[in-house]
Amino acid sequence: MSRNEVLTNEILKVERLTHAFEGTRVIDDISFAVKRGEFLGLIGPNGSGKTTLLKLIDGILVPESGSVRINGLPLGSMKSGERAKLVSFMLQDETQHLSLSLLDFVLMGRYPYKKRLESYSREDLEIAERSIDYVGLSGLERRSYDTLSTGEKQLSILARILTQETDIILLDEPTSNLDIKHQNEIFSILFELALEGKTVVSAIHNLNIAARYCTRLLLLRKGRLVADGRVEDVIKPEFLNPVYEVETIVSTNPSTGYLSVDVTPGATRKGPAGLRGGLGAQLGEKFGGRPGGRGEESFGKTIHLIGGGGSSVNLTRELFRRGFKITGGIAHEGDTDLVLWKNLKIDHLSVPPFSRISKVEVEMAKRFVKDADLTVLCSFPVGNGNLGNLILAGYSERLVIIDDSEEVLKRTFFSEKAKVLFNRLLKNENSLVVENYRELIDRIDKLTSC
Amino acid sequence: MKKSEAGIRHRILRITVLLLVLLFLVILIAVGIGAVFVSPLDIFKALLQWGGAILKKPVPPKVISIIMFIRLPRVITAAIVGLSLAVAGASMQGLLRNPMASPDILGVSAGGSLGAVIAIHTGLFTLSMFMLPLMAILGSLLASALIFLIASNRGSTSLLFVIIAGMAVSSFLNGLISVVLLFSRQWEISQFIFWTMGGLGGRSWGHVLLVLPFLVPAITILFLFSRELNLFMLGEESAFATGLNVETVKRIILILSAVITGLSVSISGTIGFVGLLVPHFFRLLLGNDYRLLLPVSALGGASFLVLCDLIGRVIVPPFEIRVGIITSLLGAPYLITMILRYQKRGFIAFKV
Repeated sequence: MSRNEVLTNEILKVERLTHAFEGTRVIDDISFAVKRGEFLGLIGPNGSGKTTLLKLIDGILVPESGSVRINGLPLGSMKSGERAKLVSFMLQDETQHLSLSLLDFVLMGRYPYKKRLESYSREDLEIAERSIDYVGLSGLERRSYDTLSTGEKQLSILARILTQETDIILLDEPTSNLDIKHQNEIFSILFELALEGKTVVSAIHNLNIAARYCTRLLLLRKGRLVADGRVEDVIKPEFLNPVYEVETIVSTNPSTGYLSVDVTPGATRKGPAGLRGGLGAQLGEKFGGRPGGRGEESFGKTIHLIGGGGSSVNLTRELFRRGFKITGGIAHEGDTDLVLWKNLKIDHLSVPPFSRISKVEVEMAKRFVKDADLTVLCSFPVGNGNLGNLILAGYSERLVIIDDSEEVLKRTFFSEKAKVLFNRLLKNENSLVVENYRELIDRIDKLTSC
Repeated sequence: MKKSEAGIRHRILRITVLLLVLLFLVILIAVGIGAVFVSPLDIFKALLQWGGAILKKPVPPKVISIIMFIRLPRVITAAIVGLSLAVAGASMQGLLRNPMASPDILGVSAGGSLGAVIAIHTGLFTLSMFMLPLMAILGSLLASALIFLIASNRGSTSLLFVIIAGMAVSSFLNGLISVVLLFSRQWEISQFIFWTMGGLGGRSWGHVLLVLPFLVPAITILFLFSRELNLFMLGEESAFATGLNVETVKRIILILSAVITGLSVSISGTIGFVGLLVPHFFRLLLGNDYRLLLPVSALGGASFLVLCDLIGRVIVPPFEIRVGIITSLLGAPYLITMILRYQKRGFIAFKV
């Protein structure tokens, strides 16, 4: 190790790496350096070159041009044995059929340290057993590899890799077909290894996993490096959207605090189903027969939601998924309903936090209610601030009131005025009362399916 | 060293001793049974007498010559050939990660036969007694190089593909054998049958001594690669990542198994199914750890072929059924059940 490298602590250096398969460039001029103790995640869609990059770093593939250096030494100049003491690699889809005992299987990782005819020493055995213990499989040493579960097999491959005692550990989607328990187990182990000073480089399919465990991410697209940096600098819609060719939403998971990536919910590909004249049959009857001034075709396509405190989230999701045009309001800034409406790019009206909904705003929201084929008043507590929402509901000619007694946010009224207003809505012959959002969705589904 | 390594050594030792005893018994029976029955005791006596001992109740000289010059060399040849083919088969299966590979199915044996036939009919064998085995080795090497080129062609390495390619190579080489025999104007059906179906009739100590000095080192070296054969089970890329010099080791194992096949073909012709059936049988029974599988297949292969030859000799006296026919009659149904089983498990379509 040269002085320079000791200072920068760069254990792995990839310089201008380029590789092609049958004339197509699969790795295109990629350069980066990895420090000791980093947990580097390679992300990118299928075919972006993650696996190829890993195989180039391990030397399984020889690059067309460019170089891979480990501790400053070019990979190409190393013998197989030397290399295998520095880098180990957990490939995808390893053989599942091996009638070796787990211990024998894990001991294979000692191969680079053994001369021909030299048998495994006590030290080798101890290292193997320690690795088995590290991945949590101790007690299974005598079991045949064949008889292990898929998750245990993956863990034993990890144990074998650890037995190789390399500073750099490469992995190609190590948990692609594992349940969340084993997924978490493997990544926790890798995270711990990185903390202990190992350098971990893993291709990861699941962006949430990558965001949660890695210290740094490389985003690949068609063999090119698109972004390289800390998790929060790479996990951004501006990078992800063009690479994955979807609209993503990046948020902080309120329950875990980790970054969370999701695809923006899309409507059904069929497009809005609409309630057609069918609504006249059930809901419509209640609303006084046929809708005025509209063709049957478009009837029932637009629904206005009056919510607050998260009371309209379920309904928003379900209706959005079914392709309805949704409008929302009036909500307060910071309200959960509003966040969702914004993300889904739903037309809405909002007022500043803790402010009172004024007549002006009710007037403005009236057009939503008038344009909607159906207005739904969700179940939320009514105080002075959102009293305007009840007034707004009163303008609807076809109102559905969700009167949910099991909802966490019960409909309570902080003023007599609110109670009176609500009771008036209940008695209105244009109103239809349903138990909860499911009932409404079920009714709508029945109407759209026939 | 407590568990694994010591464990596997004990296991190898136990099973090896068991199979050695079995082989000894099988040889004793095979030497004793024939047109003239010789009891085990008389066999020992004959051996002693032949070795120069003077016994009180000597066995007749006729018995001594039957045992020493007819039966024993034949039985020993059978044991050597069975051992070689089983070892070659086991390592080819390991290398190709294909439980259906074997010297005869891949055409490596046919390559050996072709080499031998060329040596005989071009008169090369008159130059030196080593020319015949040498040409057989060359033929086997060429055939295995060919099949490996086909098998390592990316995207076409399903289990069955290699087998079908091997059978095609095999038929092609058998055709060439026929051509060589025809052109040399010495085409005899018995010759053709010997080189394509194999036989152990008329084998002498000369045959044994011709190949043994080469077989012993070749098989010994191959045994030293059992750890590498285990690594191949992980797949070539994982084996590489674990530090195996894949290309070099692959060539070494390939050459060794071709040499072993060529040598055994040069003294027995092409005997089918031994290399397939024996290692596969033990793989099912004992698992696929090559440190155990290689020695076990070797001893099991030896016993198996001695037994098959014995069956061929005694089943319809006074006629003799060639050992290759017996192994085919036993092996072909085994191969078919194997294919059906692997197909059921969906392995046929798997990439290896």
